[in-house]
Amino acid sequence: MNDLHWFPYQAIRPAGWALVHAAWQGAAIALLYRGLVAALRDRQPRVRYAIGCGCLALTAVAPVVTATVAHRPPVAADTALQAAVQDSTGAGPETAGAGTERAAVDDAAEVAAVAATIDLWSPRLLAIWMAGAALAVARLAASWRQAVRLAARGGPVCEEVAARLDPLRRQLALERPVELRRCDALDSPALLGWWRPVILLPSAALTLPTSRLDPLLAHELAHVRRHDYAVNVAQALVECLLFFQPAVRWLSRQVRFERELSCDDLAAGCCEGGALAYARGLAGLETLRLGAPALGVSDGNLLARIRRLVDPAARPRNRPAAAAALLLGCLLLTGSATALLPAAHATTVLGGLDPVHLIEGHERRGAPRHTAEHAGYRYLFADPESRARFLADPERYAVINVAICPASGRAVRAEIYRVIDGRIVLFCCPEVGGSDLHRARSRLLPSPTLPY
Amino acid sequence: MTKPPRPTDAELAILNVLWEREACTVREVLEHLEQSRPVGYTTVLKLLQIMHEKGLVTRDESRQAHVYRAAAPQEDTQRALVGDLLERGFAGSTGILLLRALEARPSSAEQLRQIRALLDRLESER
Repeated sequence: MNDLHWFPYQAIRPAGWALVHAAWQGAAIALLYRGLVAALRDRQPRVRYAIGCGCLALTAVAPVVTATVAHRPPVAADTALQAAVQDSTGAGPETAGAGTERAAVDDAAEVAAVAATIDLWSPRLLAIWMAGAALAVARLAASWRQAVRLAARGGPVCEEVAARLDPLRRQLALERPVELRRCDALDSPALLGWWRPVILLPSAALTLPTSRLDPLLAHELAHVRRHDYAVNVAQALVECLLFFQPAVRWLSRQVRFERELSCDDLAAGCCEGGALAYARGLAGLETLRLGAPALGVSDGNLLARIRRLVDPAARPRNRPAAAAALLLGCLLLTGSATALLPAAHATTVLGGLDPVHLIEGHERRGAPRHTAEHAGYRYLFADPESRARFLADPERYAVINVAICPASGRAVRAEIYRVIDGRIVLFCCPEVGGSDLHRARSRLLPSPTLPY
Repeated sequence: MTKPPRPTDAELAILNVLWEREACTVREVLEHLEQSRPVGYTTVLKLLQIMHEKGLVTRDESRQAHVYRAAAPQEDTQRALVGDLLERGFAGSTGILLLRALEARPSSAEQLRQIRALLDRLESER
């Protein structure tokens, strides 16, 4: 449990839960987006793009917020113990009487079992996630390096082509300077960079007449105008962090698609000849790419994009029934997942070991299906009998200090315990020395004969 | 020492023809390519001109119909491409960090035909 000792301890459990939340919330948000889009198919792509970006941001933020709000460490109710540690007067502490024991009833037992499993798995989930996210970020960095090298190998373009930029920039009201570079390895114009954007033009594009080249330049300039590059990088980072949820990658793809459509709209507006001339420009370069081989496996996106731009007959219609079904699905998923949240309040303690057996001197691992909660902690039991014994007399079997380490006064760690005189005491660090035990005994158990 | 130019997919298709047939005119390349997909003469001509500028092919202008040859042998180019592919395999597609005007995978011949037909129809309706 302690292999993540460099990670802030209090954050391990919420972080593990945040990952679980990210999994179901990602799916729910994808359903939400799908439902909203079904209801907004006749709107401009800008609207759907904005909604998509919002949803994507939500997938990253919502798990963190949920985990922070839903998980509270056990209340430091042993204030008297705190006073005892500071004054060394040894006044008897009150046990954390704020919480009452809640016997786990059947449904709640399943929820508690899931919560207990997540608690126990948190450090491992966190470690796996960090490895995966680090790998994803490394790949992104390698991608970035490749793209930059591609741009650096590019050469300058001739005067006539460079001169085409300014009138287009004026039309788009774009003040930021944009560099144009010729890039032999690409077959389509591309934009790199946000602060100092560079448009890379393939050699094939440079041979096109102005009427066919302008639409391509306008498209890339539209990207610059809308700050699409920065948003794209943020998207890529979210995809790295949530690499385990395919719904997030799907959502990201939708956002990218709507982005291209929005740019099409913006760029077609500043082409002389309007959407038709713009479409011809795109098609003109596409023919130079010689098309895919006979398998015909391609996204078909260019055809869809052009049809949307120029064909008035191809108006998409809203689908309210589909929207309602999808939004309902989202609600159901959210509803059933949030049933898990109340169980998140209690922290699984002692690393899942059975407290009754611990006090009797042997370590036995508890099963997640036998749980009970007391004073903000969740205890796991090896069998229903020891659970029944615990519930009959919780004051005797529960940990004696909920939040504060009797030796140092710092916050306890739920897995670090010692059994002293028949009571379980939590400590804050793995090395518990003789003097710590002595201090604990004197502060928590002033008289060994007094039963608790 | 400069890195040799990398062919795009379309250029690679033409290079494959040149590697197989040693030396070809534009017309011969066109005939060979048309067996697998419909392609226009001007397209092939343009591509060969660009490849000549990039240094991927050499051009023999002694006769009226220019004769093109691949500049580098097949193994060299393939080796370089495999190296690129490995790097690309790890890095994923650079497409994530480059905003392109056209998608990474080009439209099929059928889709191009449909695009053309649509644009021509609308142009004539104006």
